[in-house]
Amino acid sequence: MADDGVLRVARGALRFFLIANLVAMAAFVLAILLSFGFTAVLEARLLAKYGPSLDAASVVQAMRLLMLAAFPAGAALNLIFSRLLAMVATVRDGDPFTAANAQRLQTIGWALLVLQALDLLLGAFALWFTTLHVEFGTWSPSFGGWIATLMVFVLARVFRVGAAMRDDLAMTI
Amino acid sequence: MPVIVKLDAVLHARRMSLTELATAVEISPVNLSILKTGKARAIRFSTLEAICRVLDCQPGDLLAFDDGENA
Repeated sequence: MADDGVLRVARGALRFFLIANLVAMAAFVLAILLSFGFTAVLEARLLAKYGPSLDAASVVQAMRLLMLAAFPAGAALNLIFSRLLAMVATVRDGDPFTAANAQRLQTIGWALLVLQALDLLLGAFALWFTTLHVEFGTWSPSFGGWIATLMVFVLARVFRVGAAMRDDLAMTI
Repeated sequence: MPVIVKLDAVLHARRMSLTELATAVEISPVNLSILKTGKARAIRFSTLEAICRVLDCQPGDLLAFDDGENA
């Protein structure tokens, strides 16, 4: 199949996201390590911003846990980007309707489910930071994400059945 | 599979090669070979019709059912 523009853009974007995600994970590792080395500086900055009544030690602890939660998210994103990249490659090669791609879609579905669960965890963090009287971005449950996850699982099954039908057709003379 | 393809025998009886049949029915020799060796999962009516027309035979001459109990 011709390597059309959409595929080229998708491949480029996925490669960029894959690398950006790895860089972000490395940055989180560094940030967690630095948070232990510069705890006093961090707490001083927080107290300067929010006042002496702030429980700075708890806020720093919450920040570390939030950064830790980024690792499963990064792993899930890595799975999604790498599997999508492999699927795009099969489209370019002209043979995308395979059992392997059905399996890749299912893996993407599980990764999306992990991200959705982590989104709920983010909601818990938002609540925690609010009780600590620290600014945190507004959070609301992502219904679109749940629907997309369900859709990917259904599509994975459709793909699996389609691949089996194609195999049958390939051996029909 | 209990359905046996007897294309080889019919071709032999007609003194025709697989390549000649492939040319006559406009199906690739590779696909006809898959059919002849019993590796095909299904056969289209259009294929069966074309082969029967060229070989002047009936579908029953090309296919047989043997579940092993008659052996």
